[in-house]
Amino acid sequence: MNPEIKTTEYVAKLKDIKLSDSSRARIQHNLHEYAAFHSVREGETSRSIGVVPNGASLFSFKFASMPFVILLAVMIGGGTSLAAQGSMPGDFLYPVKIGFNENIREALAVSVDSEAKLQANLLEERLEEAQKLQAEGRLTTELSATMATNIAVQTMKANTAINLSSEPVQIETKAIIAMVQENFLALTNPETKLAAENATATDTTMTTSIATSKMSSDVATGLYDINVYQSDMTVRTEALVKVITQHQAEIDLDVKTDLMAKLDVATKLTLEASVQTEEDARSTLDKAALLTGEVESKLSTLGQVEIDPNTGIIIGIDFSIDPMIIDRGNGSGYGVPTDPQAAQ
Amino acid sequence: MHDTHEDVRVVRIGRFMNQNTQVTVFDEAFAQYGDAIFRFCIVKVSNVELAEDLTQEVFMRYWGYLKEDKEIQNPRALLYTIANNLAKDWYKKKKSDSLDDQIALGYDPVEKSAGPQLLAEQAEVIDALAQLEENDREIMVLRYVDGLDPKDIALILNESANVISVRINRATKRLQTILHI
Repeated sequence: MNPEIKTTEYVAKLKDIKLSDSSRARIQHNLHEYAAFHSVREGETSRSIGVVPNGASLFSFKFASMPFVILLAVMIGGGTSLAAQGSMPGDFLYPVKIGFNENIREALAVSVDSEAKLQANLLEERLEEAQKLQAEGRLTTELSATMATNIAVQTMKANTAINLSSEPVQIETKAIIAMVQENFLALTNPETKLAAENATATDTTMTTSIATSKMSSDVATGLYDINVYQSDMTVRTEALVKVITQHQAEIDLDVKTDLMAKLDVATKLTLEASVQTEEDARSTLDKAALLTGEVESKLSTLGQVEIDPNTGIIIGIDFSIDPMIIDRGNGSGYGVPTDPQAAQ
Repeated sequence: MHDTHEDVRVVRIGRFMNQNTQVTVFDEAFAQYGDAIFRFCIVKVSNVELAEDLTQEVFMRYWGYLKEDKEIQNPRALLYTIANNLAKDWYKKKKSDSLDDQIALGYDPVEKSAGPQLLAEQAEVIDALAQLEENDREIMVLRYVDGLDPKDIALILNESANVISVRINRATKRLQTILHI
């Protein structure tokens, strides 16, 4: 007999394989339960049901619970984060720089090595900020304490990242950490030294930042559960569609069309991810996150956005406030650091 | 002999369908394709229990996709694609104790889990297929067990129809070697 026919008939023996009655019934039952839980209510769209996690409220930095905000905010020139980039400790926008811009840079670090290098760089920046304050005579006791805490936190983040990286990178980054420690303590202000020595792990800022950094490094090492990622993206995209639709009369038509188009693609990508392998899904969701990030960035230049403190999702926008102008009380617009004493 | 011309209807769960209707559509999909997906999974993972779990997972993902109010042009292809991807993920996680390692160590995964569903004859076939590479295995099942057209297979595996035809030929020859035909 023709070997090929023999083969095909051989394999075709599997045709009769079926699920046993009991297995079929069991699976069907499970599927019904699943469908009931993830149901589509009549007249509504099938939105944000089921698996949105509740536990994300460790973070007091609202942006901190969006580790996947892969925004090129600074490059796009989004007003607030661009202004924040030059800010110093004590400035109004400094939390945006640390809590938001740097999270983005972390999210962009695609390998453990680049993550380690990034954290080391951020640590150096902390030192530079402290040195600058010192040089300008602005390093008050309070600021010293804050800086000490920031540096301690950043050192921890750097150490975490370093442990995962390759040896040459480890050597390089460990040297940077040592240099920063030394120089920071050497800052002649005795109060700085004192504050550095007293910075403890019970400081709430530190707890928050550690939680933030854990989430960031989870993202960096891909531990952010894929199903959570996917449902987060779904919720996030839908929230944006809702906000834009609600305020469409206030948005320029061209802008609105562009934003909705991006959200449309992001929605499609998020959906596609649900049927892909984990690896592919992750990169598809990253693409979707990039698009939603652009939309968020644009929105934040159009008006004052309202953000849900637990999830970091944009839930509203006030167009009457122009976010590009920040009233510093001295009428100078953004980018001008104020005297930290006066700001209190 | 090879081609089953199944009615591949476009499927849609509209948001204005009530829950009962939606579940009916879902049930139909399971009724129609459940066994085929199950077979596919068995061949991929050579384990009946695991194949059952995977089948369930495939349909759950399918439901997730359905409820987004999308029109699904080819539900069968989508189901196979999901199954394929889930199996891939499973393999990645299983790398440390791969099926090949297990077989090499004399552990017959099929034997362990062959329930009343699998006749000795079928278990033997699964065993033989398990000696093929993953890519070959899936092609054989799709072509000779489920009788899919090369062009449908191309859709599922995301390759061109030509590549698929070539792979079918090669896989068949490799199986012949294994079977000493």
